[in-house]
Parts: sequence; structure tokens; C-alpha cells
Amino acid sequence: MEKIKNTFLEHKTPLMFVLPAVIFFTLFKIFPILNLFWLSIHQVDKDIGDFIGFKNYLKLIHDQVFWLSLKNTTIIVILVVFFGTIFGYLAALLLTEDFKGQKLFRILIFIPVVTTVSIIAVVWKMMYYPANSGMLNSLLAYFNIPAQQWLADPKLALYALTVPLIWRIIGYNMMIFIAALKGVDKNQLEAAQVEGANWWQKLIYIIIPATKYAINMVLILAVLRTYKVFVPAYVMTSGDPQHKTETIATWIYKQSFRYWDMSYGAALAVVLFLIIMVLTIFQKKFQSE
Amino acid sequence: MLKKLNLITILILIVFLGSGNILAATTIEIWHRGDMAYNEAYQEIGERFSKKYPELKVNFVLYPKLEDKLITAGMSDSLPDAWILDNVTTGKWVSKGFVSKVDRSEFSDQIMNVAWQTALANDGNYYAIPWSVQGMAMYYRKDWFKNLDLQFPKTWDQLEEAAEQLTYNDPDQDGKNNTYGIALYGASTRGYGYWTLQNFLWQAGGSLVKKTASGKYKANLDTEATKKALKFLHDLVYQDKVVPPGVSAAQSTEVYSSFQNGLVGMVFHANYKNSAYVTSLGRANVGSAIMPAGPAGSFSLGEGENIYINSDSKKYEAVIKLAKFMTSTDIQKFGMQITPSNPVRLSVRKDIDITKVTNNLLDKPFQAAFLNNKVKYPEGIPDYYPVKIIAAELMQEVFLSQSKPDYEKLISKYNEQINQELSKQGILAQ
Repeated sequence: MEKIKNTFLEHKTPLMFVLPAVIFFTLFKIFPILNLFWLSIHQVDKDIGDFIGFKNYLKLIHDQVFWLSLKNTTIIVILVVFFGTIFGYLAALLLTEDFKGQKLFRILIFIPVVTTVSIIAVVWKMMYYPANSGMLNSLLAYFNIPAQQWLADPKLALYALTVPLIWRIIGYNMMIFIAALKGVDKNQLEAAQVEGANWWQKLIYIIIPATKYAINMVLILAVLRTYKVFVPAYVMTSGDPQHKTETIATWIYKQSFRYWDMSYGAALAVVLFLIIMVLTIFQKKFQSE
Repeated sequence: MLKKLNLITILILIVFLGSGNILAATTIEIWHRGDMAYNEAYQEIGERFSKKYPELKVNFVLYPKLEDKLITAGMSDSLPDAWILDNVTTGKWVSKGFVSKVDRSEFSDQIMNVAWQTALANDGNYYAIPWSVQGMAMYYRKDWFKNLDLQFPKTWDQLEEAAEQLTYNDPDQDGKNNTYGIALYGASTRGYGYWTLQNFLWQAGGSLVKKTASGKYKANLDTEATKKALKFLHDLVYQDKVVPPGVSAAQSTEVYSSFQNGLVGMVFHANYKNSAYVTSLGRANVGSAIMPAGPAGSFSLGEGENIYINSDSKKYEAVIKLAKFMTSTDIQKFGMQITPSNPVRLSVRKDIDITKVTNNLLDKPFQAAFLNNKVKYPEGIPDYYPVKIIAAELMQEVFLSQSKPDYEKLISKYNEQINQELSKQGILAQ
């Protein structure tokens, strides 16, 4: 006891500094997560009722919409992470070069990041308007391609939903990559140039390895953020048609607030939390290796 | 001296806390949804109420996502004294124990029976007070019909014929092939497709659910009427091609805007878009009529809003007083007159002629549908929402099938789903 007391007194100042953050994190992060798990194992009506054990988790196994939403979300994550990273990196490579209008292009690409997600979703929904007069369909008509029912066609809807997500994340990724690219050793690049390396060789052997930490960070953040995708999915399709664009987050919302099954909604949220946690651990482990 | 000071302080505290309790006891908190314009209308009602009953105050609070707010408030014991919400939610509140019983006999006998039915639970008790009703009817382009020398359809056959003419005969006379006959709801989100299916299903003589002699319920999709309704709707989309593209994802916004922007000639919903349509299209160009009749008649879906009283509220009597005031002739008329955000769509009272109040002939068919018993309400099962979604998903699947759907298979699949839902709610008849 005396030892603990001494250790505390010894580290009193740093402990006092971290204490507010610890309290805040416990109250607003740890407690809700624990409460979520608590809700998922109890019947929830007007009050938190009987203990129901893992009934909701068993129900989840037989819930076809949950599995479909998991599949849809995973497809969205893969597409957003893949294209968002590649296009973000390409945009950063182009926009670190000095040319007239460089800043304007940076702003244009970054604007979607600071625009409200729901507004982006509404604008894209309007662009996808299925009649011939719809913006994208008018464009297709110019090339004699028949009008598409972007968000109503079960084969197209998920991909149509993903495009604005990719479009939005490019600007965010670009800014991280631009910061990383500025740190690339110019002497190394010049030396490579003298040795006769072409642009591709410089990219593969110098630039990418020098920015791998930024790439890792972008990948982790993109996976974390995209698995929770809710607003664009809810505003644009709400899971339609036939749950083909249902994401885990929209299904959690519907179960909790439309079907009023708060307990099952909590179980779904716990599973989403676990998925993201496991993925992050794997990603970090893989990247550190 | 100090003792005296302490005593005075304590007395002041007692008086202050006491008066706080008195104030709290006389202020009714009531939540509603809509927008700020609705809130202003409700505030006005509150002020009128307080003028009549100075000892009572009403605090109307606006929550655009009211259902979500009520659920979370219910879990944290912070529900208001009352709330105004869709009458289709009655069963849900009752089954969760959120609301108090209401004695119907305390209220005016001029309130329509059909409106009271939306407050009736399976145990035979009433759990809400009807505040506003609305039934669906058809809006149509009068100018387009006139240009084509067409009469508004009275039957399904005539509806199909009129929709074809509106699609293929250039009703807006702009020389372009850019119009459609009718807009339908097909999205399963929030059950929009249900609006389409329910109306046409009743008109065909069918229903989603039926009450049995035991007082319990059974799915009722496996009838010829369902097949007839589904086939008629599918034909409109794929055989006649009189419905705009994207029907399977069409929500209310798409449907309303397609009429307002001159894409379609007919659309059906309740009477809440009068001023928007008249402003966009011109008063002379918009008409309204009761829904064309199917084989069983011209039925349409009824909706509306009720006043629900929190079962834990200590101000039950005060809320009842407010509800009586809100269902009085004066306030019902006032609620209908505020445009465009009229909290009362149609009065729940049968002694009010809506066209005399709103001075808008577009309202007439909507009220006529009620007075002629053409408006139906869904069966009073505890939670109608899942059934509504199942119906919307059926409608959407039919709209997604470009070739002729296998109706028997679809009907059987969704009938089973409804039965499973009824079983889950403990009301499935054997």
C-alpha cells in the first residue's frame, strides 16, 4: 500500500494531467460500450427488463438481413478503401507539383470533406434521378446509353451508393498524402534522377516506402469510418431495394428505432464494434510486421 | 439575529420550491412533430387554451424525429405529459405500456367513430384522443384531362385508360413525349410501397390481415383479390408503361415532385399538398377526386394523428381538459385554417364542413371519402409497422420484376412472413 502511495505521489503531476482525459474517455466511450452490451442481454421496453442472456446474439445468426448488411458493408469498405486510397494518392502526387491553379484544385477536391454528409447524399440522389431527365441519365443519353435506375436497380444500387463515399473520402486522403509527400527526401529523388530512374521507379522505390506510414493511417481510418457508414446510406436508399444497400448501421437504426427492438439493435451494435476492433487489431499487427 | 435570518431563508426556500412545484403541476408538456410552422400553430392553440384556463399552461415542443425521441425518452423516464403522433402507432404505445386509457364518453359525440377506432386497443379500451384525420384521394391535372377531352376515371379500367392517354397523347401539348399517367410509391423504406398496395388491395376486396372470430388475426394475402391488385399494379408499370421509371425506389418526395414538376397526371395521398400544387401548377389546373373504384369499391387508406397521454404523467386531468379543448369545433376549425402547415388535415368532427372552413374545393373529395365510409384504417394489431414493411417489400418485389411475377409464390412467401409476425406479437389465430 505504501509502495502504491509512493508511486502515486511520485507521478502525481502526470497523473493529474491525464485524469480529465481518462474521466472523459471512461464516461463517454467505455461506459456507453459497456451499457450497449448490458442492453443487448436484457429485454428493453419502457424500462430495462428481464435478463435474456445471449438470445439476441442467437437471433442475429439467423437474421438474413444482418448477413446481407454485413456483406454490403464489407463491399462498400473494400471499394471505398481501395479507390479512395488510390485516387487520393494520385491526387496528392499531382497536386504537390507546382502549377498554376494547384491551390484551386486542392480546394475543389477537399470541398466534399467539409460539406455536410446529408447534403452530399441529397445532391447525389438528385443526380441519380431515374427518369430520362435525371442528370446522369441525361449524360448517358448523350452517348446513346439507355437511362439507368441507379438507386432502384438491385444490381446497381450498392455501387451507385458507394461512388459518393469514394468521392468524398478522396479529398481527406489527399490532404494526408500531401503532408506525407512533403516529407519525402528531395536529395534521394534527385540522386535517383541522376542515376536515370524514371517516374514510376521513383514512385515505387522511394516515394511509396517514404510515405507508408501515411498510407497505413489512411487505410486504418478508412476502414474504421466506412464500416460505420450510416447517413449517406440512410438518406439515399435506406436499404432499398430489397435490402441490397442495407448497411450494418442502417439495420441497427431500423431495429432500434423503427422496429423498437432496442435490445436487438444493441446486440447488432456490439457485433459491429467487435468487427471493427478485430479488424483494427489485425491491420495494426499486419502493418507492424 | 442569525437564527431569525436562518428562519427567513428557510421560509423563502420553502415558498420558492413550493411555487416551483405548483408551476410544474400546471404546465403541460406536449411533444409534436412537423416543422416550425406547425410549432407556431400549436403555440397559438396553447395560448388560446391558457386564456380559457389561466391556471393551465401548455408547452408544445417540436421534435422532427419524434418517434426516435419518444423511444429514448421512454427509456430514460423523461417522457412528456402527452404527445401527438400518427394514429397507426396506438398499438405500439399500448403494448409497451407508454400510454394511459381514455374514457371516450367524456368527449364530444361529434367525433367520428372511424377516428376513435384508431385509438382502440385489443383490450377494448381507448388509449388516445383523435386530433386529426386524413384519407387518401387522387390529385389530377385538370388541364391535361381537358386537353385530351378526358373525364376523371371512376373505375380501374378507366384509370388504366386515362393513364395511357396521359402517357402517350402529349397532354401538356409541348410536342414531347415527356409525361406519365400516374405515380406510385414502391420503396420499402418506411413502408411507402404499403401505401400503394393497401389502397389497391382494399379496392380489389382484399386485405393484409383479417380478424378471426377468436379475436386473433391471420394473414389474408392468399386471396384472388391480392393477385388482382398486384397484377393491376404490375401491368401499369410494365405492360402499359404509364408509371415513371424508378417506381421500386419511389418514396413520397419523388412521387409528390413528379406531380408538382409536371411529369405525371395523377397522384394519390392525403390533402397536405394543396397549396404546394396550386402554387406550382395553378389553381385551375389541379383537381382532386376520390380514388377510382376497384372490383370491391373506391376505398382508400386512412391516417391521422392522435393525442397520447403518458401513463406516468401526474397531469392526466389537465391533458384531458386540453384534449377536449383541441377537439372542440373552434380549435378544429382553427387547426385546419392555418396554411400550408395545418396541424388538422381533416377535422375529427363530423359537424364541420371542411370546404366551408378552408374555402378550398380541393379538400372536398378528401372529406367526402370519410363521410361516405370510403376510408379504411388498418387492423388494430399491437404493432402494425412490421406488417406495413412486409407489405411494402412485397410491393417492391413486384415492381422489381420486369417479367410477369409468380404471384402465387410471392403471395405465399409474404403471407407466411405476416403470419410469423403475428405469431411474434402473440395474436396469430390458429
